[in-house]
Amino acid sequence: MKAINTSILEQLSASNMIPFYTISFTVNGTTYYFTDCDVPITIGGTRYLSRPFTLGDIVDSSDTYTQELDVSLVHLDSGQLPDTRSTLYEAILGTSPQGNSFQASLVVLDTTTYAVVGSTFFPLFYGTISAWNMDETMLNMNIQGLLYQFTQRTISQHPPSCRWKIFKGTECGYVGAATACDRSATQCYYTFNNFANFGGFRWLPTLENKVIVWGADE
Amino acid sequence: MTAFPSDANVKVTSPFGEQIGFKVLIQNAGLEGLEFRKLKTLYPRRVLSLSFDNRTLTQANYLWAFYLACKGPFTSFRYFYQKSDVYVKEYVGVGNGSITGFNLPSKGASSYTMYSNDSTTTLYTFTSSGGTDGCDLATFSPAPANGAILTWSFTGQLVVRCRFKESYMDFDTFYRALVNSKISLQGLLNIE
Repeated sequence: MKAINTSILEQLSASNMIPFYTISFTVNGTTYYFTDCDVPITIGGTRYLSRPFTLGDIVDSSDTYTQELDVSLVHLDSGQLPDTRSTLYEAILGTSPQGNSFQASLVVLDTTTYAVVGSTFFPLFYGTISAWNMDETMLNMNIQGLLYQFTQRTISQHPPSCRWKIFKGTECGYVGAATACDRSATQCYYTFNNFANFGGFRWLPTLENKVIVWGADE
Repeated sequence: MTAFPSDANVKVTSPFGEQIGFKVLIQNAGLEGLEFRKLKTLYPRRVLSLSFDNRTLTQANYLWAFYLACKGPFTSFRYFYQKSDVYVKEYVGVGNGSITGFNLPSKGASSYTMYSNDSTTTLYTFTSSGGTDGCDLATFSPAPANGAILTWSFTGQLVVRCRFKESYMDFDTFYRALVNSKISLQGLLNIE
């Protein structure tokens, strides 16, 4: 049972109300805050930029692992104050947003003053970005509930290719002139001279140092 | 941004058509007439329908050039109402804690009051016609707080940020609209 702010509950029970949604998600260390209100909303010092978006059905069932939510966000940077203009492009296209945190919430405004009722929002959905696609106008994201992670199985503990998400990122550590990487050990060793930071496994660690005796049991 | 031409070549017939729209979701719950309403835009959008009397071909070309310069609905501009009137709590913008200068949705305003989060504020200097394109300007000191919604009541000419509503027109259609029907402008929020 979620506790709902009593002021929000009071507004929601009225016949006239001004509810909006907010979403926030973190990509590459930057958190983006948006609201579907036609003007920016500030909650607890955080500014939610006005940007049209739609939230799909929040899917839940007795199998709690199936929580999911589809979000469609207009990524044309119109109707905005110039705070984060164009950076959403960089965030989505320049990195891998999958696995990053996402939250959708409900906020209610006072019908007279437009102040945020209760000075807070009511969280509707927590999750992580599972998949996304983008066309010329919309960024569509599928969000999986946090419990979804319990259903994940590790299928590749020791991949032969490098597993670091970001080339030249913290784990990669490469600082040379190259701008792309094919994740192979060959390129990391011979071309980049960065094998100390290689994120793949040439051999299974449990076998790598095993002494193999041919022709007889040890 | 620029302003809609206001010289004699494009003198708009007054009064012109003005639609004011709000987005409201209405849910009717059952036979008792019980109804729930959700307001989904805080501030209205105007659609202006401008009509022009007896425009010559040259005068029509003048406005056509402005349509082309705006690339149809691509570029927004300010439309200045010709007639002074009383306006209440028109949207100005939302403070972010650092911006001090706000172009107001008015020109030559008098009897004005500025509201921050629906409360009267006097922490600003008013400059008549001192803003972009000749609209009025309010310069705050200190800057309005992050999230402070500014609204403006005044007597004067309303200024509406607009764009052309049509994205595709040939000159014949445009000229016919000028002479026989109307040119539609889609109103936007005061600050982009």
